[in-house]
Amino acid sequence: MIELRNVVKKFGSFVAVDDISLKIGKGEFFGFLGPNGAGKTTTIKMMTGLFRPTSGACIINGFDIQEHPVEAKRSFGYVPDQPHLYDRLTGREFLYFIGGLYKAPAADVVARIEHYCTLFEMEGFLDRSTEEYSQGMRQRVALAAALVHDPPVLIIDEPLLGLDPRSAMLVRRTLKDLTRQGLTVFMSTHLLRVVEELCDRLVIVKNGRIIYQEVTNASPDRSGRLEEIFLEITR
Amino acid sequence: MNTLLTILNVRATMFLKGITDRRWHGLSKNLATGIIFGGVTIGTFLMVRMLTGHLVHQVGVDTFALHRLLAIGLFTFFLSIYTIGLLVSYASLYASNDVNVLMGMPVSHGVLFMERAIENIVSSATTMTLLGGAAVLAYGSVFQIGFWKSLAILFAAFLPAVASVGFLAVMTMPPLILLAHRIGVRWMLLGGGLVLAAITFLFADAVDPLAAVRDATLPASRVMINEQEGITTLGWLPTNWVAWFIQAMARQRIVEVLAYPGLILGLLACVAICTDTVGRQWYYRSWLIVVEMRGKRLPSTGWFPFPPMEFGRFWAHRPHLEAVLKRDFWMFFRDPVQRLHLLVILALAAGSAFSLRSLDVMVYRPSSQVLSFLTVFLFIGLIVSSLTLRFVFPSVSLEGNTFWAVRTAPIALSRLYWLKFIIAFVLTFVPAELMVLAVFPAVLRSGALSVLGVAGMAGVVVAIVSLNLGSGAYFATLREDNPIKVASSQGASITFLGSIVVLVIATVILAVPASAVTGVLNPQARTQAMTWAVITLSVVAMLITVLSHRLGLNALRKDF
Repeated sequence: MIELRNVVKKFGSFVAVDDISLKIGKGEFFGFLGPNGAGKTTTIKMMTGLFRPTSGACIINGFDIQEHPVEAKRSFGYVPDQPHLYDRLTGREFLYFIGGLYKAPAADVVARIEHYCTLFEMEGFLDRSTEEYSQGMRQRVALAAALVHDPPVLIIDEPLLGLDPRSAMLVRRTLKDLTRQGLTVFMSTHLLRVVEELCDRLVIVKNGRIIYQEVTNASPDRSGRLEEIFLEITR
Repeated sequence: MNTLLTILNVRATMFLKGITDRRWHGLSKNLATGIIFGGVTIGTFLMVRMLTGHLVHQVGVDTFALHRLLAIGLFTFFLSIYTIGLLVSYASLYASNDVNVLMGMPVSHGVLFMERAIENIVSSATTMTLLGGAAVLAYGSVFQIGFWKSLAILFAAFLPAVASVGFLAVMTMPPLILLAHRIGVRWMLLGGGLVLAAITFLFADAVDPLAAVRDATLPASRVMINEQEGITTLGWLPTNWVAWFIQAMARQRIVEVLAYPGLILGLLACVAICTDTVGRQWYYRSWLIVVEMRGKRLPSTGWFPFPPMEFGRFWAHRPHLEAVLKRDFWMFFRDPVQRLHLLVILALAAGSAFSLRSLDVMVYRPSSQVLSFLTVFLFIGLIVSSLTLRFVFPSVSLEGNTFWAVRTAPIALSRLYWLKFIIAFVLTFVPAELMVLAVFPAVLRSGALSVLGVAGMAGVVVAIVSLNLGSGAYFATLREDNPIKVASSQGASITFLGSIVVLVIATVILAVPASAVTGVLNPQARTQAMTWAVITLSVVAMLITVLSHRLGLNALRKDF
């Protein structure tokens, strides 16, 4: 579902992402880890079409994001690390807006908004202006927006940032359930415990290069071990 | 004082770093900025000089009538600086991230207010001051005022007056916020609007601007005018002090008016002290009120209902475009700053059109009729430029930090761009042509000139809307969510000057057929001249449109 082919991103002489190649299959929950400034967000921005790669290709659901942006973008939902919303719209209006952008059928959008409103416990604030939202509320609306058009791929950058423990648990559970139903998730995070709990496979990047890969679901007894590995190889 | 200087020093350093960027991109940008600013300033100087020279030397207008017109022009100029300064000051004082950062630091509210006031004056008045200064100097040069006297006009009268008006605009805002808190925002806006309208009406009633314009286009022999009439009518007005000072310089009677620079500089000192006092007393209180008012804002739905634009009510066959349309509609009309802004601009445009309609230009010779046509055309073009600068230029910037949602959605950016262009074009074209149709037939009493005006304005609107949208995308500041601040940025100033260049080009192109229409050429030659002018203008407009759209679309695809 997701393929990165020798992706490089340079800003002037600085190489932010250095020849990353990956293949992620359908229904896989993929963890993308690395220290600050490792190139995680830059990679995600190239995958979602927000950055143009210096070289290489990002292919989503069979479409190169640079060559066929509209087709590729139709295949994924995206939650950025800073989920800015439109201050003058309500959360519900934002979700309608996103549904419209993806040309999702109106009835489906209405049904999914209601579904995620209940699932992420947004009833209390979804009809208020997003200007009043806390970080956690914004995060939940952004996640619902990424799922409102029922995409086969979800790309998320720090999805649990700012969420209270209960909301974090709801999001984790939802993501796991959706991957069981065939959703492919590409998640960047610093929460190693969450990666251990959710991910089928992970990579660790440093200075723009992949320095470690692991198929985590093949190691049943791994509680806490990832932290040791991470600290060791990113030193 | 030290803190204020430190903050201003940081701002100046940031500005200098920006304009001395040695990288190719920065260098080319700064070079283009310099060329445009310099070119338009010189162009303004030459144009005003030519126009004034034509009136003085060829038409032979009465110089006192001209000075009276200058006094009225200066009042309008300073009133515009005040209004724009007031509109921008809300953003500078209450909606700026800089304020949020500095409020949490050990900086006194008086210092912070003063820093904001200076920043506000620089950001809101620079371009106008540049053009106004060039016009004043050009006016003086017709009367052969020398270099040193010109500098005296600039530094002892004009610039201190601009700074005074700038301070006055900023120091008005905190009391207005406190008043709005007490009586309600709507009543405050209504009261403020009425006061502004009353000032304009009383001024117009006292100086009779229409008679002044008429007198300034007539040969001196037909004007019966007192030497100081018009300026002495409201002698206590500081704008008249500036006008009188320039007049005295022109007539080499400097000693009589030496008190005026002193008065203007004294006024500046008084206004600066008052600004400091207002900052110390009321700035923090008003800032807290704004924060509180924002927190209490009513839910977005439930007020100002407009069912056709409600989300989720219906889906047309192009839901992605409909979604963008609805978003833009609500983002605009739910923003009180934008609503107020639109109201002010529309009121100014309607007022200008109404005033122009009442203008009774006595056409004694064809050259004056051509001049009237071109001047009115330029004036309406300037209104179009202001309208587009305020509402079209910021449209890409207003995508803001939430642009990620659109950039990652399956919508071609070119479609988004064209949608913005079509909306902006329609919303600019209709009022612009309405103004032309309202003014040209009434003032010029010539069907052919009116047709030329309608056709010319169509070309100008296409070019200026494209220019504003394209460069608005190129200079987009997605982290600035206040449209008024965006419209006062450096990029916006360059674009405004670019619009003036477009207007001047259009005016030059139209001057030929306008002369043919009013001259003695046969009807066939007139039609031919008009056709060629419209074709030339269309080609120029298309060229500007294509280049602007290329610039805008490429900018839209930049890394986010």
